[in-house]
Amino acid sequence: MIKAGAVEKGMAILMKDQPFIVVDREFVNPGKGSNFVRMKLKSPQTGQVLRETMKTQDSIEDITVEDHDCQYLFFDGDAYHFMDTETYEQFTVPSKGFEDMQYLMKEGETYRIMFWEHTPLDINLPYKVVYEVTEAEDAVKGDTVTGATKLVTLETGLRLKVPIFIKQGEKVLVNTETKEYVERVNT
Amino acid sequence: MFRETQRALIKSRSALLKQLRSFFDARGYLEVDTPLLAPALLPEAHITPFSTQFLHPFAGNYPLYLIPSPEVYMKRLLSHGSGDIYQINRCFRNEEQVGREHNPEFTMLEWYTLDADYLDSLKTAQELLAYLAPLDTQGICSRPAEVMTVQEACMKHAGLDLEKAQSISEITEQAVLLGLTPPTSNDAVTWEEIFNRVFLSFVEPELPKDRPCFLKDYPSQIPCLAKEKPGTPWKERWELYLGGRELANCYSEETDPDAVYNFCSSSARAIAKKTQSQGTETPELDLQFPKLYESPHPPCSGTALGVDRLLMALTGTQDIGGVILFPLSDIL
Repeated sequence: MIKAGAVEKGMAILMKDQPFIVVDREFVNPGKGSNFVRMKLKSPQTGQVLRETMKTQDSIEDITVEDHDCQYLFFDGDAYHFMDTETYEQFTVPSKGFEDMQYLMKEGETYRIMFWEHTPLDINLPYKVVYEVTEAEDAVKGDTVTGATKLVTLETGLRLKVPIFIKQGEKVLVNTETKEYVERVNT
Repeated sequence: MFRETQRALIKSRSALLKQLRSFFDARGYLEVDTPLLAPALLPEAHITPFSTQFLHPFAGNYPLYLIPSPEVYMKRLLSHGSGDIYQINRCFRNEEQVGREHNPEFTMLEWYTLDADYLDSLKTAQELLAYLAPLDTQGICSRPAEVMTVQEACMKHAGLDLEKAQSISEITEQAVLLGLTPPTSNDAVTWEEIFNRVFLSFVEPELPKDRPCFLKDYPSQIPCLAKEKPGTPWKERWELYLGGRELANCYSEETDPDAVYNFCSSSARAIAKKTQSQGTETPELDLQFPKLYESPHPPCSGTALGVDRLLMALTGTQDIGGVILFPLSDIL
């Protein structure tokens, strides 16, 4: 058991006997009221998002999790197929609640997966990842406004806004949390 | 090296303070500056003060507290006949988490108007927001405000009918239906706590962020020094949300000596219970405060507004550390 005030983003907790990942948490003191922590929780099994607010002094059941390095094999439309790089065991993670992962993970790459008693709970992507731009239109001539952007498609299918000087075949660094362009990568 | 962002912050803070003062000066309010160190505090159950000591050379040490708000001193001035007053000063609250919306030391604007109620103050607050339009880079202040009752907001965003959830068992049932977990702490659970859990989970996040939002008529079960709204389960109180963030709190001030006395004694009991269970020292409490109201007191309305959060809204800053010079989050 831990105090609700000690809960952090990315932590796994047990609520109503179900594991949940804390996707957001903030402290609030309404009026001159007591200290509360407001949380957004996601069930890795169903994708259901729960809102919960507790007093920071309330108790919460935390769970012990393990991280495994796993290779991403492919997406079958419903689930992501992985292989544990240590045991060579193959398993799937339902895409529900992790829909955006199909546009962020690269086949063959290794990612950290959080496990709780053999159940995969969360896929951890690096905060920033380099992707190749596979589709980009040439900038329109004369379009020289500072900060002008255009939409491009990355090797994983993710579409995002980048500065107009980015060309097809170039590599860009992307923030996987906000899915926003960070900078051009010179190779 | 002096950063450009810091220069911009100095400028915007200075401009805001100037604008706030000129608004109240032009309306005939007197600016006051009351002490930041107080020998005793208004009993407020959920506030933990910063405490210190005056080291008297001969007569021993004397406990002193950094004020959590200038309320007590300002109300003393009002009862002495000061007329309408305002103050911009520092307030200190211990044990609040340092985060995106809290710095333990913060700047408060507090103003009191005689012969006025909370709805008069609501009008003044709207005029103040309009007056700040030249500093508003986000265009939020100048939009027409949404004004709704807490009952309407709970109904709209959580389907919770507060009028029908007046008892602790009724509101707990509603909270569980909404998906909240039953309380787990050992403390006796209060109606206020369950209300806050519902409000913070489902209502507050849905409040409009693109324009000012006033929530008025707060449940009487939340103890505070606002007057009861006659014939209703509400108190004459509003809160202002700007950019979805709680910014100001206003009451038709309670002036009935018995009601003030009851608030102080029940809060004092709650503080004693809390400090006892935590094994901490109970701060000195100002139990003389209710006496201010023993002689007839004119009707009055007071509003407290967080200046740092106001600057966050005006500049579109998401973290309170970004609008404070030397925020505590830099060193913690």
